[in-house]
Amino acid sequence: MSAFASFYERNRSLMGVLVPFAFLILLVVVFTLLNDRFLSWVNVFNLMRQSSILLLVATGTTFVILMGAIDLSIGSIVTLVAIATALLLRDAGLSAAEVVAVGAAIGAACGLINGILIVYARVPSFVATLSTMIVFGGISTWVAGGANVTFRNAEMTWLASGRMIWQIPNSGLWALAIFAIAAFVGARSVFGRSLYAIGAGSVAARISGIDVWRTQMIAFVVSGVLCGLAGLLLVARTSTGTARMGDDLLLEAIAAVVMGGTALSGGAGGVHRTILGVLVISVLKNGLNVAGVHPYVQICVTGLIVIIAVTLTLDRSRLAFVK
Amino acid sequence: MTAAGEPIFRMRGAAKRFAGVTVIEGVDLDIYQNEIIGIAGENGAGKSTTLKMIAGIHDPSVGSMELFGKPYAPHRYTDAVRDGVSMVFQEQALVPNLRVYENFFLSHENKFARAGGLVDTGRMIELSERHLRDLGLGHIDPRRVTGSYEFHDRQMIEIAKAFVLADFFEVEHPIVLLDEPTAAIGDKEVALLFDSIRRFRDRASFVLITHRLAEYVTLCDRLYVMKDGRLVAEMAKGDFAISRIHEAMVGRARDEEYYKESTQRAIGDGDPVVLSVERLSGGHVEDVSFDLRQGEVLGLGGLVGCGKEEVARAVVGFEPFPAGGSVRVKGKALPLRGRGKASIAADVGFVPKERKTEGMIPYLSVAANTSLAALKKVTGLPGIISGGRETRLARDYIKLLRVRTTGPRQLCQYLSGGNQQKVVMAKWLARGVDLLVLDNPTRGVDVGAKEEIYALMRELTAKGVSILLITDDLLELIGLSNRILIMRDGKVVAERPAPPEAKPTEQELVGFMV
Repeated sequence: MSAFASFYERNRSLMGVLVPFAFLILLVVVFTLLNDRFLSWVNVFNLMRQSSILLLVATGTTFVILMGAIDLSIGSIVTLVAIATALLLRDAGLSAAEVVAVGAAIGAACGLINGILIVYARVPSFVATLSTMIVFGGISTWVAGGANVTFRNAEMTWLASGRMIWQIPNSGLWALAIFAIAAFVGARSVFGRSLYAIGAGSVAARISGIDVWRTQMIAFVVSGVLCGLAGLLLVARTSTGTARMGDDLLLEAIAAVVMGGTALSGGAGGVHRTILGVLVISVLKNGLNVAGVHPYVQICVTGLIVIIAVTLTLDRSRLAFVK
Repeated sequence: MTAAGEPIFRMRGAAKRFAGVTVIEGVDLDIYQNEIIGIAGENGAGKSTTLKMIAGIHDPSVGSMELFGKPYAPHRYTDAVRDGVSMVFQEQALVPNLRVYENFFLSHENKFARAGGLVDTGRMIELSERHLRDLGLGHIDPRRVTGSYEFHDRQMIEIAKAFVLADFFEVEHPIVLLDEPTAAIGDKEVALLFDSIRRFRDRASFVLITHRLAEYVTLCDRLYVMKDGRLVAEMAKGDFAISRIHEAMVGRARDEEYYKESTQRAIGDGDPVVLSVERLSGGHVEDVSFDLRQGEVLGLGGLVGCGKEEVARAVVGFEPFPAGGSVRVKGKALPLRGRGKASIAADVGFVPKERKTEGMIPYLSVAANTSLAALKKVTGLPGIISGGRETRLARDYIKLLRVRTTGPRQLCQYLSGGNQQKVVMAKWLARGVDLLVLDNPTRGVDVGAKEEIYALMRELTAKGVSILLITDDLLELIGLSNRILIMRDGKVVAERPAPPEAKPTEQELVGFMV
């Protein structure tokens, strides 16, 4: 084993933070060299706006992954809430405050359905959420009639793109505030501890009196609600609900969680670490844009860099088999 | 080949150490042609380790082996199979959804390769059929899915596999290792199995390990007896009776000081009943009833599979457990649904057998494991864990139980077995318990930590905690218990008081167990 590899093994937890952080710095340096506007305030705020949605989705899904489960329906919940919101605003004349409540409720309901399938029907989360991903996606295309749903609502636009404090976009503020609460809950609450316990040893957790079913249920509902809020911000930014608009978020969110250092096998990592992975992915996408890379090439490069970053940062010490 | 009258297998001076702990030492063992030998011994005596060395699953740390007159040093099971040694595993090692012939040649398919990377299944089936017919197992169709056969036939398929592969690797006279083949089958199947083994013995040698001593007497030509990792006796047929095997197996000296027998509390009819189990039935547990009083240690003994673990599961609600009958804690009946939670709510703690998967969470810290069952006690604001309180709680118990750790933040996976077990105990003490159910609490625990755990149990009973002790270690059962129940085939067959001045002997208890 080379000196670096053995050093890496001995300082795993430190490396878990340092490697993605170094990667992030590298990206920033490269993009700044390519275009000096990259580190301008305008672009930094733009980056915040773009990353807010991914931050919400990735935060929600970290709760689920900490238990060693997976939620594949996150992208389609975002789409469903976005389209439902657009329809309610355009056709039903609901106010912005009302659609925020309804959007969060739809997200919660989707999470509840996932939870019920896993807790009561005992379907493994991979299969359950793979199926609900298709169902939720189908519903959104169906209710939208396959067309784009465009609306006009000044309050909604303010919600995403307004600037309450200085020049900071509101969507970034919401996402950071929710992330901060979630990180606290993940690290310090009984619920957060239960997630780690289930992920690291579900039988021991059950024998010790941890309410495994309730914890699973809440985690999926939290994931659903945060996806709902992400869907609201997404549609508020563009004023148009489009089929499949949330699809890319699935891979990006899981990649962000893993890059942040949360093990897919559960029980290790943390909600607070996910923001690092979100930043890497957002900086990458934004930087390629600023550097003027062709949009189709951007998609390929993003996918490639995500797989490289995950390969470098994934903690394999806990995986018996890579499957 | 070996000359007639010479052993076909020899083991000389074999020893095995795991992480510095010597499990077996100085084992000399011979197997002759057409012979059925047995290796007897208590749990932990080293018989399974010996068998696994013959099968190439463990390399001997010291010593040598010889097979058919040539040095034999398998590094993995497939090496052993190639050289003519096969093992019939207790949890069958056949893949149920594959066909019988596919199981026979599993991982040897490349020997049947045809042009284009295809497998010559026709030849595989043909070979399988011929062997099954030769072994008198013509009723087994190699094309059928293995899982569609009954347990007994699947066992035959495993034995047949040994012959098929031996022939395939051109070994004339294979050695077949049987690891507790009768643990999960009824009397009728046992008879069928033994008939078959007797029939096959003119073509192979067998090594048997079983928990039922009578089976050694019925089947074996020669018997080795192990105790504490050493061979203590070798008996020839006609020479061994069950009673003689017992005597050789047990008979360790019990150190009264070790089990703190002088501090054993006297229990009388005046002490209140904490746990009351009535007519517990289900699975293969039948009509088990007993009371456990405050401050008492009730020992539950018996061979592996006698049902004693199921009784523990029923008390703590660890599914699956026997559902019939009733379990009352401090007078209150525990419900069938949600019994786990109800049991914890009734201040019952459970230290399970599998420490690393059921007892504690290796990837969490000592502090997180200590507070796991008592999270309510370390919260500041409702639902929010106070780091300070949690650390203080962990420190208290690290000190109280003398847990050797670098501190509350160390991950439990880095602790030794004994210290891990102390953390599991700390988890329940932190919560506060009236009844502790301990399933093999000192399994994989070093001698020093064992003594500390025994001392802790005495301290707890002095404070009025009751203990239901399930253990495979007879000395521990005798030394610690106020009263001992022995189970056999799901029933309680004996109850024996064990006051410090009149402890039963191992021989006495073994007599009830087998």
